[in-house]
Amino acid sequence: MRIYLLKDYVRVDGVTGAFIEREFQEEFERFEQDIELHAAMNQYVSFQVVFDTEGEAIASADLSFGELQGPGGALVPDVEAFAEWFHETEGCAVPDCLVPLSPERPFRVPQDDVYLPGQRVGAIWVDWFVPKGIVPGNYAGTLRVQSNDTVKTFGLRLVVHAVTVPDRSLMTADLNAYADSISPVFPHLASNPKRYEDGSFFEVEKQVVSMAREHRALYHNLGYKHSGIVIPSFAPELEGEGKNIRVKSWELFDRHFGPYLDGSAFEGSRRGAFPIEYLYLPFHVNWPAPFEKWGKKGFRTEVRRIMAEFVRHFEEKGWTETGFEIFLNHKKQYRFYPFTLDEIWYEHDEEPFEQYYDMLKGTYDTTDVRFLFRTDESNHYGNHSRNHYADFCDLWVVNAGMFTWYPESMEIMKQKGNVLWLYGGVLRGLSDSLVSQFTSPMHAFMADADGFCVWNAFGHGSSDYLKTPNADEVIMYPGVHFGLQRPLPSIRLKFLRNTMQLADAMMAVTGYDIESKYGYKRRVKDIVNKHYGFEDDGGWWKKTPDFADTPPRYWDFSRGGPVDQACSPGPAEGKSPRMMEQLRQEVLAYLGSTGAFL
Amino acid sequence: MMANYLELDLDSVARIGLMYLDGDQFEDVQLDRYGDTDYDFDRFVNVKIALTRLENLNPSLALCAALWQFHPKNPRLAIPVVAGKSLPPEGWTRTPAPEQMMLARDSGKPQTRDRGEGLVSTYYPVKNSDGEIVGVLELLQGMDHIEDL
Repeated sequence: MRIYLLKDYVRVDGVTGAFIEREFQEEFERFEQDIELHAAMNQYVSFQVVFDTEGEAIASADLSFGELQGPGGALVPDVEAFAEWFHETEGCAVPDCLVPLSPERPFRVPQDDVYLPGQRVGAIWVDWFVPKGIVPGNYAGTLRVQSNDTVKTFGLRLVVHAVTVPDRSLMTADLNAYADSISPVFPHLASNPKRYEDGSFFEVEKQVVSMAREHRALYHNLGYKHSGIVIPSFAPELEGEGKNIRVKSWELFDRHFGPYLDGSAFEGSRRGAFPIEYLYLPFHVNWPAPFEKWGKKGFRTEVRRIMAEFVRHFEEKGWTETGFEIFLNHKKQYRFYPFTLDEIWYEHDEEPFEQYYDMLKGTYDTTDVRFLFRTDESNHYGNHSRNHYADFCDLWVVNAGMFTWYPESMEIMKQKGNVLWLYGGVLRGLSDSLVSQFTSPMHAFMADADGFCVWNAFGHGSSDYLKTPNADEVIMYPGVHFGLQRPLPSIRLKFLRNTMQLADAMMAVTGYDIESKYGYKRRVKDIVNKHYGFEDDGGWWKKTPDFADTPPRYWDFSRGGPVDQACSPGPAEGKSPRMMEQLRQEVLAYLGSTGAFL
Repeated sequence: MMANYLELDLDSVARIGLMYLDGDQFEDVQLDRYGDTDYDFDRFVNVKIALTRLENLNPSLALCAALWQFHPKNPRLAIPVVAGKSLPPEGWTRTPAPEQMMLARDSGKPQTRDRGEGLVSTYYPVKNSDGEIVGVLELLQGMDHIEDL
């Protein structure tokens, strides 16, 4: 049996033991004797213990950490270990779902008699939390690994840089999801028609939201469907109509969202119990007014009256830290409504979009509660960012490729006080290099954007997610197969967190180094550019294509066509996963050397 | 004695609903029947309102209504152009038209299709003001969920 260590930026195939990321694999390191990890404080650092069994089955494995010694004295590692679950997909056995190790679920290879019986390689993912307030420097210790009769001891070196990652993220990693995609994959919820009323759904959803929070992300659950149905508890109960419409009861809505909005849902979090950063509201073309009233005075009446109730209720509750979004997710091709208000395509869809805003106008401009009118943009971003949309749209989620055509747009957004997230932070295939996921926060940082959107977070549908998950629909898994009525993390979620830790440290950088006469943030950006192979910030932007001022319906979206070409190459293209490790180390070393970010 | 609306049967509901459904507006609800989906807003809203009211005429029937048109170049290809509260089981995309749907169009008479497991579709021809059949109204009985995305 061969046991070795890997860092967090690559994965191995559960059958062949080869690197999943085949390109650049000659650069990847397998650590046979010892490993050096770099971390700031108040963050996790991760590595993997890989068991290449060479055909021998493993019934259990044990990891034991010795005390590390360093400038701050003894450091006892605060670790969590997970068995990596290998999915048979895309022609390989890719690890992604992470199963917490316990006496009931020990590490074994093969992992399961049904799933991947031909598994030859197993891996344990280790999350190690480096707390705040320790003395920076090099800490050395050991890791003893036992598997069957094989025992191996590795040298561990943890380099703690003089940098503290802030508790609160200064960039939003938005894990978008459609409600209710959680209940179908938890049988005890799916079979319970009272799951909203009796709180059992809230219990599981809270674990999903909390897991996202621990991983420096926001679980963002849109509460209405394309048909216009609002999932129970995602809106208050209404009664009456027209001038008599009112909220009948806030009870279920408050029971659902209250804990997120006052932060109590996050008690016990390492990051502190602060309110959820953003929340979708249920307002759309079928709520609170039914679509049958569209275009009539009664529609406007009902929308404004209920919005007034939201303002009052949220003020009474003191929910002033969360951004509440009005988001119109309608797409006409789904046949329920004639408009596409999400990523407007046809120009005449601007009319209903603006009509909806006009109905709400003035209802929330004198409150401390933060309401945001959201627009998701792609084809018309160039127009909308430069016209009156920039005045009335507060939150923008923009296709990352088309965003790069308009370098001047970010300045406009900042001047208007708008929030902008890049959309495109998803791995299309489970075996795709993690570089594309790493690049989303880096791109947001370099463009001075406020965040990015990962689509989708928990949409398993009817897929056999243990075998072939929909990679672009899933970043957390249900633990049902393992006897757990809660979500499980994934390698991608852990890697996202590890990247967000770096991004949060970078976003916190302000100030000027009087000795070198250089802004700290500028220096960090130079480091990022260097590792991405860009001479300057211009590498993150593209030339505005000639067709951009023509109606998008006439653009050529074919693979390799003009739109594709105008968005290509993406910043992650052609980059080695090893680059991420090197970039991370250099940024931490630089920030630590300044002494300004301890 | 006056009939209670809860006594209206499927055909009665369809008859009343079709009286309110403007066939001309339905015929021209799509702006481009060959290309990407796009709608005349006013026509869609009026047609959708008619569908919603039809679904609610007798709530005890728990009807779901959808309006279908056929591709102008391929009469065997059907498109669910406007959905009421639910999509049909076929979803939102173009789909091979079932025999009963085509028969409703070609014969001008309602046709029933038993989909199994308690789900039944009845197809009614929809006419414009010229008396031409311009599509088909499907009424679904026995949907145990809302077909959505």
